[in-house]
Amino acid sequence: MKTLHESHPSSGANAGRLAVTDHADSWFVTTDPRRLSILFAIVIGLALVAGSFLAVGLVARPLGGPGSLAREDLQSLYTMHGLVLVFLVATPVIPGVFGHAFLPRRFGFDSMVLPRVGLLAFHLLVTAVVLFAIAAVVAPGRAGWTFDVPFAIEQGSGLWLAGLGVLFSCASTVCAGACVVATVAVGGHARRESGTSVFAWAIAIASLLAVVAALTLSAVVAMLLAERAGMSSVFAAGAAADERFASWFWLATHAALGAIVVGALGLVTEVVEGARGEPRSADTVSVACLVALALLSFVGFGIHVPGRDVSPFGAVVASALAIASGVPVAVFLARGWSRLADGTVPLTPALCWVIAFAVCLCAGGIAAAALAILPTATYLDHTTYATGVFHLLFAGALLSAVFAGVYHAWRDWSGSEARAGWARFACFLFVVGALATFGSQLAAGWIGASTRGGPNLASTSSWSLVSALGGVVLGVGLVLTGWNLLQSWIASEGEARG
Amino acid sequence: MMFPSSVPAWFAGDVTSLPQASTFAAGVDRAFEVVTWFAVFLTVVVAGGLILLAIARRDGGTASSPARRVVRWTWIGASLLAGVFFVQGTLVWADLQVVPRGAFPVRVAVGEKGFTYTYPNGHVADELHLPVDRPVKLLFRGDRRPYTFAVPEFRLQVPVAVATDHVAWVQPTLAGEYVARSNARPTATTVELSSIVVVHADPGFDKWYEDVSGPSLSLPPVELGRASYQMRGCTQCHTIDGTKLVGPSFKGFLARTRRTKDGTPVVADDAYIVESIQDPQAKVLEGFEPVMPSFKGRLRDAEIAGLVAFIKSLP
Repeated sequence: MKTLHESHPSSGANAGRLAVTDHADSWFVTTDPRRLSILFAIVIGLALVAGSFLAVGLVARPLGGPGSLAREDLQSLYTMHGLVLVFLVATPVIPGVFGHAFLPRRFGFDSMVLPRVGLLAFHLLVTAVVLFAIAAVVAPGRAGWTFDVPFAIEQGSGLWLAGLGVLFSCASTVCAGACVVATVAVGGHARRESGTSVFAWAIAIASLLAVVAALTLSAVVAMLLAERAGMSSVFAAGAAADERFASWFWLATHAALGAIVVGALGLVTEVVEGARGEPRSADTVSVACLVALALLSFVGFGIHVPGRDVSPFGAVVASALAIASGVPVAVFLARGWSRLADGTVPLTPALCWVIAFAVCLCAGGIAAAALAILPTATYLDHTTYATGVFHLLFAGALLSAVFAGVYHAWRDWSGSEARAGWARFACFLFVVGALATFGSQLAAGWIGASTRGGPNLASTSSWSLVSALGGVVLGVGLVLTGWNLLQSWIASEGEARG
Repeated sequence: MMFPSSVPAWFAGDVTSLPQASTFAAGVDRAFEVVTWFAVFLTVVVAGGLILLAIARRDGGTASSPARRVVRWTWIGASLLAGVFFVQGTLVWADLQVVPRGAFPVRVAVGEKGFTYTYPNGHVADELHLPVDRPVKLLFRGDRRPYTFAVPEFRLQVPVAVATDHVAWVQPTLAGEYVARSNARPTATTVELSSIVVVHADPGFDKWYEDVSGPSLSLPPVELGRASYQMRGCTQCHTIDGTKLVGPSFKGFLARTRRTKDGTPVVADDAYIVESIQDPQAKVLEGFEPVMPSFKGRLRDAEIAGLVAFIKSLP
């Protein structure tokens, strides 16, 4: 079996690239951070492809008309689409891929601190992938990726495996988080004279938040699985059982989503600093904004959903905190903007994806305010508006940040440059497609279209059509991006052999 | 799934054609519009600004960084905006929390076939009838599954937790016919929850309410009882063909000795029927749950007598 390994650093134009060898074992037990980042990238990339194919079925539903997809099949699609993209892509991508790719290089280390823990994180993620794949075949039922109670306790024969997959994904997050935090701590201490980068701060803060969220989520999913096995009755019995579960679940997942935004902000900052060619250490304002966003994510986003139903006072406090979280994000972006304005700004593919990130973050971030303003939040609950906000932030903004990071690291990974023209065009298609697809979900939600496979209103069919067409454009943008990267890697391999 | 002939009208139609049919619809819309337009504005400014910046500086160059000023004004601007969002929303929401005195009460529950509405006169229907420009208090009864009650034209969505009652209110401002539905996940065995909502213009609601306030007392007792049985919601739980539902069937009910839940024997006679209508929890029969609401004060004496006569007349 052919595998990749580092070529000799002195091999001229191919310096730093990874070439093909015959040692499979050097691949799967490696603690080399660049190899691990590529391993994470491959697994997460495959999960992204699988999750996107699942989305094709959901997008095709309005085009197929009523009855084109049985409700049970539709709910299974929703469930697996969410599970795969949230727990196998959105959560692990920044610490797994970019933590390993950028942190050692930044600190001048040969490896991460706790490198075997990083390797363990990868293998735990692979286990989660396998469990999700089997769950998809067995059919996870209609509980959704949010494991809605009581459905998650009573239905879906494959939900067992999906729940176990989430546990393994959470364990992977904890390991990757520990690895990242330890590396930043040791690296920051070693370089305390010259300061730590915004990316290092961001990924450390995000990892801490993600570890707390993962532990909480693990506990609640484990209790859910125990309940399915008949070993407990915490959620299914008695009044307000669904709220009890939702409170824990949303506390954990909203904090995790906050961690993802913090990590993405750090990632695009790294790209911008790299584009300027003169990276500098983090300033107090940027770090303060990241810390504020992380805290507000936990106490604001986290208690928003359960807090709204607990008491009027709790609802008002949670709403204020959640809305306030927009302030540090705005200041962070303004700080980054002023840095960008102060010097050379080459419109590289990576920077195009940074612009895409900014567009999706602004559109999704401000639209998210409607989910924190109390009356609109109540009105829009369970509608596709919430889906649209979620998608703009975690399909639009996060994927843009990820591709910015991929293009930024591409030369180091592959030893070649991707075609800039195609990269810009693909990025443009992605942004247009994302705004059309997910913006339509906002509009349809406002006029009452329900999420989770509820009634498909005739009045929302126009928006469903726009959303479906936008999905096609977005998909073409993603395929073009993948093709562009793959093509440059194949060309690079050809040159290396020739 | 066809493109309408007028594309601009089609593009704007879905959102703008959603009428504001309650007192707080305008407030909710205002909050939403502020958010939407600000999102559009900022997205365009940020995207345009970044692209222009990249084009202008692609060959290098320096500029004095206005970092401090930019950050200071972003702090101020973002905080003000967050404050506006919060205050605007909280004021509308506070209005939603306080049910006005004298609001017309309607009980909302979920049955096997969808929503059911019980009016103060005991009338039970699967359509929600509301008066225009008068506050209505909606008392939602918790089901064994979570559900929501949503009417987009009212900008109202009420989440109802498992086995937990919930109160909301609405004051319709626009007569017409709307659709209420549940946006929660449907179960494997239940249908989509939806029902018609009719908002009557004055004096249409009063006339409708009078019409459904009960059968004519001039009817013979058995006919009066049959009409009450059909109009007062008895059919939801009691059959007349021997089928057991939530409550016992009326067929062959009288003159039999039954046992209550605590094992006490009780004779199903006229007095027992009257007592069960007015105080249904007093003697709950074995095999049934104490879920029947009291009809004391909601049924006229003649109707109760008619029901007794109707039950007696059943074979």
